[in-house]
Amino acid sequence: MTPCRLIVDPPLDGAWNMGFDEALLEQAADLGVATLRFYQWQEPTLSLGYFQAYDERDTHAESRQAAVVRRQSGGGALMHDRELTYSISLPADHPLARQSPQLYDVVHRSLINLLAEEGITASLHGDSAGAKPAAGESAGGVSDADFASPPNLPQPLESSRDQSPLPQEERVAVADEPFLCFARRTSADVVLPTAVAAELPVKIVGSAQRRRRGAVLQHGSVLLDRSPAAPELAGIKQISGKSISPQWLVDHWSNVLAACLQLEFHRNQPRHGEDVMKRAEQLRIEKYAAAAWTRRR
Amino acid sequence: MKPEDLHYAKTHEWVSVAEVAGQKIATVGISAFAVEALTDLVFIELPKVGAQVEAEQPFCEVESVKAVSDVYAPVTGEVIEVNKTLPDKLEILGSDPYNEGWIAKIRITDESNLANLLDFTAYEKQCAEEGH
Repeated sequence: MTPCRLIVDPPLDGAWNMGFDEALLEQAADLGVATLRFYQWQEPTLSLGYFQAYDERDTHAESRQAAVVRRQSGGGALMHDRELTYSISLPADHPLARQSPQLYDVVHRSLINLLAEEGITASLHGDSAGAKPAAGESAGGVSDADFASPPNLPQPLESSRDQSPLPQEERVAVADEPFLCFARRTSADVVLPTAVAAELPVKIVGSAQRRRRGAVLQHGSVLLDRSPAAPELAGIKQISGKSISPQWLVDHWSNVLAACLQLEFHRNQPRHGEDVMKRAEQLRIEKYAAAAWTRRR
Repeated sequence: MKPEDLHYAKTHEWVSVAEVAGQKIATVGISAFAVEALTDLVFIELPKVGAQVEAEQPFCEVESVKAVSDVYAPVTGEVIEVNKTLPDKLEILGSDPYNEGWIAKIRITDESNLANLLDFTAYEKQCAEEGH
């Protein structure tokens, strides 16, 4: 079991949220500290993927007035509004820290299983009926021999053992991908089927990663409800008819995640040290709140 | 270049050092093992020509499957040339990582860390340990 800090934050501004996540990744990389964190955003905030061009936000009129921050992780833009964000920082010695696809898989499957208990039938896009067939095992991926699955951790199903979450036909033309992460699809995404069989399942979780010296930060959003700043994206409420509160999700998912990732919460320890808070504040001011970072591309 | 003739950082960058006009120039890239592990590279941010880089510190970034990773400088020095074709032809990193897939050329200004680099045999052993 890996000792882990559990942090549940109130809604905070985007620059702080991103600064804190980076500070936690640094602690994972430098001190071997694992952290599971849940948070929300004090105002609707668009987060750009690390490699996205700032000007791309002009293509999405509904979010143009929203606050904006650039993430250190990859992927497309996320509209953080009526959702819950999670972040997991794992040190290099965690069995899944160097296994990017498996970490997506384990985290996303844990949510699928949790939602199933509430009668909400989600699945990985790669497993869903509306998904395109998964690609062959070789293109750009690694074999099972290269990365042995860690013992005593939930094993991905065979259908998702392709190390690349991208179906073959999605491994090209990245520049043509939709601006919003939730409008994109990889086989590792969590989706809900719609009432119309011919429609693509709706993506309800978008996750991305940043790696540093063997450690990894994975953070992502669970879309609970439709946001006026991204009205084209339905949330769990619209698709399933059920309202999931952020607090319910924190209370239930944290324990499920801990079990799946073999994390042991140290609830009696200080929630987070003074050093990491200072570092987060420094990153908030000098990096994530600075136009030089947000508009760097 | 043959992988057997190169040296490697523990963080999976390869290095080829040549003497040019009395200066040591390192050509650097990412090993085939690392390229495979990263899977489906979609973006790279090359270092800037003229940048001073320090061994074992990040000098380049790549994105694969929504995961951004640092690439570490295997030597200390000044970036004198970058492979400008890479951002638009990232598949080269997979198809020819040790030749056309080079990332940058660095004029070495401090040779003290060169002794920390691994030869091919030692690097293969490290990869085997990481992979299993």
